[in-house]
Amino acid sequence: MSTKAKLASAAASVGVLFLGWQAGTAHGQTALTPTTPTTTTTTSGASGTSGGSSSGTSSSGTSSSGTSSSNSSTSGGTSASTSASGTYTGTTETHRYGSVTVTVTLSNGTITNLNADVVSDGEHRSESINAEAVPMLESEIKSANSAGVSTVSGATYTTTAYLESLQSALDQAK
Amino acid sequence: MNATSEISRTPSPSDALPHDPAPALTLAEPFIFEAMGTVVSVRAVGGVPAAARPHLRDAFETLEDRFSLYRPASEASQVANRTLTLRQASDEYRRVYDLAIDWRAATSGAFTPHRPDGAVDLSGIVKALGIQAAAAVLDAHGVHDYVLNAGGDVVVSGAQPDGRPWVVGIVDPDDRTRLLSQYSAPVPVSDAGGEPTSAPTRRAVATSGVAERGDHVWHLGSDDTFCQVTVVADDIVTADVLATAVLAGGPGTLAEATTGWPGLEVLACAPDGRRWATPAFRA
Repeated sequence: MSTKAKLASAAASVGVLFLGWQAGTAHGQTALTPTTPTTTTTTSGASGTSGGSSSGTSSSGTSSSGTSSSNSSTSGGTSASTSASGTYTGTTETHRYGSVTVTVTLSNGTITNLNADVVSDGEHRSESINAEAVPMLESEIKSANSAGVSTVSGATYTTTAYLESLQSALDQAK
Repeated sequence: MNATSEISRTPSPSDALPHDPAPALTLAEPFIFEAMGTVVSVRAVGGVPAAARPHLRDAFETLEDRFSLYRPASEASQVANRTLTLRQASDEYRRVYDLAIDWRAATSGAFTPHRPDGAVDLSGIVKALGIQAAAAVLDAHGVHDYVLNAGGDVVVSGAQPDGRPWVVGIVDPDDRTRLLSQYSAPVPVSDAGGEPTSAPTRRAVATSGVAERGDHVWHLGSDDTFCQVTVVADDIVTADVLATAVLAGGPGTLAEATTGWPGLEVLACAPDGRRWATPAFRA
């Protein structure tokens, strides 16, 4: 997925997320513009796709994955192999109850953090939003530290399989 | 199989976790019993009160009486073999059926209460409801710091005795004697003196896989990208249903889940070693 598609996807998810908070307003769009333009990703491209993406998501209810994949094919022709890094802050969108500002952090084209600054009825809060699960190598996964594990989650084991399970081992630990 | 017998405990060296023969737990012994064809383990700070134990069993048993397809006289069996219509079913049955239908809609059909042969099978959601009911029993008995594990699906609440977070190990789909990753649950906020100033935090971790209970997941969209999916959510029904849905629906459903349910953490595994992870599962 291209950087622009990722941004669009992120903005789409934010659009869905804030839809409830923006009840009463006509649109739930958040336009993204890079504050640290460290790459060739264009400002207009990012904001353009994100605006279209989030409005499409909120108005028609289509899934963001479908929307962003179509954006992916659109943007593929112009900047196919951009690997963006940096932090991008969207324009602050105001609505009846307050405002929302979204910040996306990219590392080599991968969304590593999506943050929303929300001001609602005078209260301010900042939230991290996990935009998506991204493909990675096993070495990039957090490894387990068996000594500190309290319990074990795995595909459902039967009563007979329990005795051979790691959970059984933990249950027998004194 | 006696559904209420306690599991005999026969420790052996091979039972120890890899890399650590003696996990450092300073908790009271877990309360362990069989329910819904699997084993439930409850470990609580200060121990599971004796008064709560029969109610914990009942939390699962009540649901199993009505919804087990392994009990020919159960209401679920009668609906499945069509001697009882949905219209004739009890309010309790229809409440769970409606919940499953709502989840089918919310997951674009990736989760479904219908078997390929058309029969209604609510077991995919009933176990999670049992876990939820058991957690409510602990709440009612004033137990706030605990780990509840039913056949690999987990609810954690509060923190360990020393204030450290509960850590949930995730089984390696390629080698069930090993852990692939782990999830550290958020701990309640405390003041300078260590006294909790927020309500106990609660998180649910559910894992669905194709290797065990083969019929548990139906590959409706014929997507077989994932062989194991772990989902962390605020409640066990959401975690369990979405783990099943993502396993059945593949990357498309995964994207819809992380977009549609803010705060979700997911670790998805493909048979060829590829992994998909949200931040909590990244190194």
